[in-house]
Amino acid sequence: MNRADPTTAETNFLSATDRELSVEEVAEIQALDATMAGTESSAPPAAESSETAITEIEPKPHKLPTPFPPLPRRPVSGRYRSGGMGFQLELRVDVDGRRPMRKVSGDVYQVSGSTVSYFGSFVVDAPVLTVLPNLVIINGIGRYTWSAGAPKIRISIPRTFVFAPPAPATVQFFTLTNQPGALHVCQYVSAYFRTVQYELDKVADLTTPVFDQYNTGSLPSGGPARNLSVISGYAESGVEFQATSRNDVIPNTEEGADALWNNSELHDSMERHFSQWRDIPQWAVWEVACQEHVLGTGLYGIMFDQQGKQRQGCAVFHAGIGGTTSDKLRLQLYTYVHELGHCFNLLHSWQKSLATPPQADRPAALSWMNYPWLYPGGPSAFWNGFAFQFDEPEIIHIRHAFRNDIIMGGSNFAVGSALDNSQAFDENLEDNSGLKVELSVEKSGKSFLFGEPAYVKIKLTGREGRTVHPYLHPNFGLVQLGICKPNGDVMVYRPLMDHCVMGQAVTLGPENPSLEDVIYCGYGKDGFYFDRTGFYQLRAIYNAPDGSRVMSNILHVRVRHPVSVADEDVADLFFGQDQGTLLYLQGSDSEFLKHGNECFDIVLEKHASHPLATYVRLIKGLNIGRVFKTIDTKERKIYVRKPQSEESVKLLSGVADVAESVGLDAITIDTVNQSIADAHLRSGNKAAAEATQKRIKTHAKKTLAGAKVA
Amino acid sequence: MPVLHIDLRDGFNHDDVILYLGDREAARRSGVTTDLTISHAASLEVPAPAGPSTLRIEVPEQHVWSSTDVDPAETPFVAIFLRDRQISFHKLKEAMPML
Repeated sequence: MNRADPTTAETNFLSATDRELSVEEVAEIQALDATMAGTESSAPPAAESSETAITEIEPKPHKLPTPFPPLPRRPVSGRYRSGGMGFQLELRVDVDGRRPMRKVSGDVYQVSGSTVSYFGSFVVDAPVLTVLPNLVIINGIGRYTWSAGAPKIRISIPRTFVFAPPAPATVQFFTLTNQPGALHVCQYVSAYFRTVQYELDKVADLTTPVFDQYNTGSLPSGGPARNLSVISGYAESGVEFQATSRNDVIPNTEEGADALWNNSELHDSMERHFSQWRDIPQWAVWEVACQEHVLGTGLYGIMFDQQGKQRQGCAVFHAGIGGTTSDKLRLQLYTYVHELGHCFNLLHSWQKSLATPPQADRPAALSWMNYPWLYPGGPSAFWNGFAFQFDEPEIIHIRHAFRNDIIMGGSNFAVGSALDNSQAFDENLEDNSGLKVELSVEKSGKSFLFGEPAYVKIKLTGREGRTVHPYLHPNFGLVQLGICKPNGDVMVYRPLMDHCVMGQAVTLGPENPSLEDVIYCGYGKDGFYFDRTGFYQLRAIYNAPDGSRVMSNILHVRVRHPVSVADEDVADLFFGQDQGTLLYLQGSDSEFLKHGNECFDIVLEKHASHPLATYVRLIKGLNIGRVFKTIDTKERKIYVRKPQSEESVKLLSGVADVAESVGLDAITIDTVNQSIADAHLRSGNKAAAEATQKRIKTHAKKTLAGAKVA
Repeated sequence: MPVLHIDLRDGFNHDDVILYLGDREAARRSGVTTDLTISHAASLEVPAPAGPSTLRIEVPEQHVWSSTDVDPAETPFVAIFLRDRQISFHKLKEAMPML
C-alpha cells in the first residue's frame, strides 16, 4: 500500500511511524548529518565533561558474535519533572524513540507560598548527544522566553534496562563562561511530551455514528497500515489524550430553530457541556460532533473558539463527512485530528507564513494540516502519500513549542499576546492563598481623558485570620502592577521612588476585613504609561508574606480621544517630565520642577473650568498645605517654607466641590477633606475644621453604604 | 439561468471585492476577511449566462485583479485564493470543502 517516494524526506526512516529509534542510532544520524554538512556539529560547545572522552561519532566496529544478545535499554526520551519549592522544571527530552526530533525543551514553574505559576519556557534546538554505555549526556544552548543568565544546559540521564524503572534526568544550567547555574533533578513522568484532557460530545440530531477508528490500510496510503483513532493519532505525535469520562449528548435545541450551528451557538454549548471548561489556559480540549454548520455541508470542521481564551474547542460536521464507508471513515479521522490541530495553534500547511512568528509555507506537506484538494497533484496524490501524521515542523511545535504558544487558552490563534497572555501576569495554575486582590477605578465608563492622571484603587480581602502585609502600593515593592497598552506592549509600572519598609503584619478579621489604597500609576521610571488613546488592561500581583503571588482581576480602562481644542491644550500642558514628577509627588516647590509648575499655572489660568484643572488644584493644594524644605548646599542652609493654609484650603475646596463629578476615588476625597481640616486647625478656625470633619464622616458613611449596596 | 458558486478563500483582509461576469458587475462585497481556521472569507452565488464567460475579480486595496474563463455547466464552483498578490482560481464540479 505504500506509494510514497522512498527518496523524499517524508519517508526517511526518522519519519517511520512503526519503529522506535535507539539513542545510539540517533547519535549516528547526528554524526552523519555533521559529516554531510562538512562540520562536526552546529551545536554550541558542550559543557566540559570527562565522560565525553568516549565519543558517539565513532563508526561502528565490526562486531564479533556474542553468546547473548545485549539487554535492551529504555529510551531516554519523555517528560520529566523536578519538585520542591522555588522553581520546578518540566523537561521534555526528544532524542530517541518514535520520530525523534532531536530537541530538548522545558517549562519552568514558580512555586511560591501557596501558589504555582508559569514562569517561562525554553528549547534547545540543536542538542549534542553523547551516548555512553550507561549514560546519555545532552549538551546545548537554549532559547528562552526570559533573559537567561545561564543559557547552557547539560542533561544527564542514566540508561536503564527495559525491566528497570526509568532513571531521573539531572539538568545543570551553565553560564556562557561555563559557570554552573541551577541544578534540577527531574523524575521521569511519562513517555509522552504533553498530556491533554480530551472530551468528545455529540449533538442529538447526528445521523451517522461518531468516529471511533479507521484502519489506514483500508485504502491506499503513504504509511504502514494500522488502526488509528483520534487518541492513537495524537499518541503517535507524542501527545497523550486522556478521554474525560463525560460524553454529553447535546440537545438539538441548542443549535436554534434553523437546525444549523453557528460559532456563537457552538461556544455557548462548549461552556455548557465541556466539563473541563474554564476561561484560562489549560491542557484540555473539547470536540463536538454536529450535523451541519450554517456555512453548509461543505464545512467539515471548525476551530470555532476565537473569543476570550481561544483554541479550547472545535467542531466537526457529519453532514459532509459522516458515514461508515472507508473513504468516509478516513475523512472523519482526518477532520477530527485536523480541527484539534488548530487547537494546538497549528495553521494550514500552506498558511504557515501567516503565523507569528512566520514559518515557511509547506503546500506539499503530507500532513494532517494540509488540504487534499490543494495538494500538488490533487486529492489522490495526497491520500496515496499521506502517512496519517503531522509533518516534522508541526511535530516540533506540538512537542516543544513554548507553553503559551500551544496550550489551549494560551496565545490567540496565529497572533501575538495581550496582558492576559503575558507570562509575568499569567493566571496562577493553583491559588490556595485565601486572598483576593481587586483593582478598580471610580471613573464613569472606566475611562480617562487624554492626559488625565490615572489613579487606580487596589483592595485586598481574604480569609478571616489570614496574616497579610499592608503595603499595597507599588512604591513598597511588594505589589507589581502590569499595564498592557493599546498596542499590546506590556509594561510593569515602576514608581519613581522605592520606599523601604519594616515588616508589618495585619490579621484580616472583623476589624480589618479588607485593606485599600490608591495607586497613581500615570507616571513612573518609564515616563507616562497612558500616553496614547485606546484600551488598556491592568493587573496587579500581591506578594504575600508566605510567598504566595496573588493575581488581581484584569481591569479594563480606556483613554478617550480629546474632543476639543481645550482638551488637546490641557493634555499638552500635562504631558511633560516635570508635570509627571509633580503628579507622582503630589506637588513640589523644587526649582528643578519649575517648568512643570508653570505649565500647571497656565492650566489654572486658561482652563480653570476644565476637569483636569481639578488635579492641578489637588496637587498644588496638598503641596502648599504642608511644610517644604529646601537645602542650599552652597550656603549650607535649610530653608523651610511653612504651610500656607488659606491658599491650600482655597485650592482643595475647589477639588472637594467637584470631586465626585470628576470621578475622584473615595480615598483621595478623604485625603483632600482631611488636609482641609488640618489647614483650618492650623489657622485656628476650629469651627471650620469640625465642619470638615463632619463632612468626612458623612462621606465615609455614604461610601460604606455604597459598598454594601454593591 | 445557471448559477456560479464563488468562494473567496485565503488572503482577504477587510477588503472590498468586486466580481464581474463578462462586462457586467456581478457582485460586490465590503470588509471581506479570511477566517484562517477554515480558510474562508465569503461565499457568493452569482447568476451566470449559459455557456462560457469571463470571471474577473478586483481587490482594489491590494491593487490586485485577475480573470479566468468559466462555464457553470462544467464547473459551477469556483474557489478563489489570493496569496502574495497572486490570484488563483480553482474551478470545480463540487464545492471545495472547508475545515
